[in-house]
Amino acid sequence: MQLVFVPNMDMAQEFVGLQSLTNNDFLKTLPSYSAEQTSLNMIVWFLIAISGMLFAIFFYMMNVQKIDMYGILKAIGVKTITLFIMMWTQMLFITAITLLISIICSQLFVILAPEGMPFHLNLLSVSKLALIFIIIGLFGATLSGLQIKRTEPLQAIQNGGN
Amino acid sequence: MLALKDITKTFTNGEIEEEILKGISLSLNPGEITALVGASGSGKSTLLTIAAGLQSTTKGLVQFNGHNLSNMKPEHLRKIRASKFGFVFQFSHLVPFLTVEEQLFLMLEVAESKLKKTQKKEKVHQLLQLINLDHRKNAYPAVLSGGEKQRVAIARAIIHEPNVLFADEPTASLDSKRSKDVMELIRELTRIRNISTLMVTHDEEMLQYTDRVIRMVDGRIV
Repeated sequence: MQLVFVPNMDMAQEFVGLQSLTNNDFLKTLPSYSAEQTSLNMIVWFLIAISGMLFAIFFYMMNVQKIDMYGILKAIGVKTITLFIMMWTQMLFITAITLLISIICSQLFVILAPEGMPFHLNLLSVSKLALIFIIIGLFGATLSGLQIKRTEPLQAIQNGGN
Repeated sequence: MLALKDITKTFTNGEIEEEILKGISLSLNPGEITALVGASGSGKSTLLTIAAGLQSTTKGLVQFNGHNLSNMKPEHLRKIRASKFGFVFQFSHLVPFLTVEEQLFLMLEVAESKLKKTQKKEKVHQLLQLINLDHRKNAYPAVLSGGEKQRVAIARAIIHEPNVLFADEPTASLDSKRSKDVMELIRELTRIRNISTLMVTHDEEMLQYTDRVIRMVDGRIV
C-alpha cells in the first residue's frame, strides 16, 4: 500500500489510483503512534479512575463520619428519604463547585497553552467527564446513605451523637 | 397523656439475661417537669428511650393519647416522635450546615407543620426572641457557644409544640451558670406551652427546677 500525506488538510482528497485518508486515519496506520496513544490513554483513564474512586470515597466518608448525627435526626423523626435528599444535595453542591473550578482551570490551560502543544479538551469530553463524576459522587453518597439507613437512632444516642 | 404501665426490659448477652427495668409504672402530667435520677446503670436512660418510643419493651405498655407505642408500626411511631415529642440530648446535635433559623424550619418540616411560610417565619422569630437568640438567627452551630447551642436545641425540640419533651442530661456538657440558664428555659417553656417534660439528670442541683423527682435503683423506682 502506498500512502500520501498532504499537510494541513483535514479532508481526504481523492487521487486517481491512490487511496485517500484523513489525517486521523493516516495517524492510525502508524504502529508507533497507536502504541504511544494506547499507553497515554491508559494513563489518562487510570487517573480518571483513581480520581473517581477518591471522589466516591470522599462523599462516603463525609457522610459516614456524621452517622451519629443522622441517627439523632432519625430519633427526632426525620424521614430516611429526607436524609438521602440532604446527602445528595450536599454532594451535588460540592460537585458543582469542584467541577466548575476544574473546568475553568482546564479551559484556561487550553487558552494559555502554546499553540504547538497537542492538548485539546472539547466541550463534549468535559461534559462526559462531568457527568461521570456526578454519577460517581451520587454512588458514594448513596452508599453512605444505605449505611445511615441501617443506623438505629438509639445507637446514635448511646454513642453521644458525635 | 403519656403513661408507662408495668414496664420490664430485659437484655440478653449470650446466655446471660439481665433485667434492666423491673415493672416500672409512671405517668407524666402536662406543664410539669419529671426528673429521673439514679446511679449509672439504674435504668433511667433506658426508661426515657422506651417512653420516647425509641426502643421496645419486653413487657408492659407505653400509652400516649390512648395509643400503645409498644406495638405501633415504625412509620406511625416516627410520625408521633416528629410531631408530638421533642428531644434534647446531652450534646446539642445541631445540623452543622444549617443556620439557627434553618434548624427550626427543618423541625417544622419534619413535624409536617400546616403553617404557611410567613406564619412559620413568625413562629421561629418569636421563639428565638423568647430564648434571646434572635440576633444569632443566621449563625451556624460552629460559631455558637455551648449554652447557645443547647438553647437552640431546646428551641428545635419545642418549635412544633410537642406534648412531651424528653431531655437526656441536657446540662451535662455545660458549666453551672449555663446549666441554670438552660434549666430555667426548660421550666419556663414547659409551663408556658403546657408540655409534659421527662428529664434524666445526674446533677442534683438541677432538681430544684423540677416538679417531681423519681429515683431509680437497679431498675426500680424507690
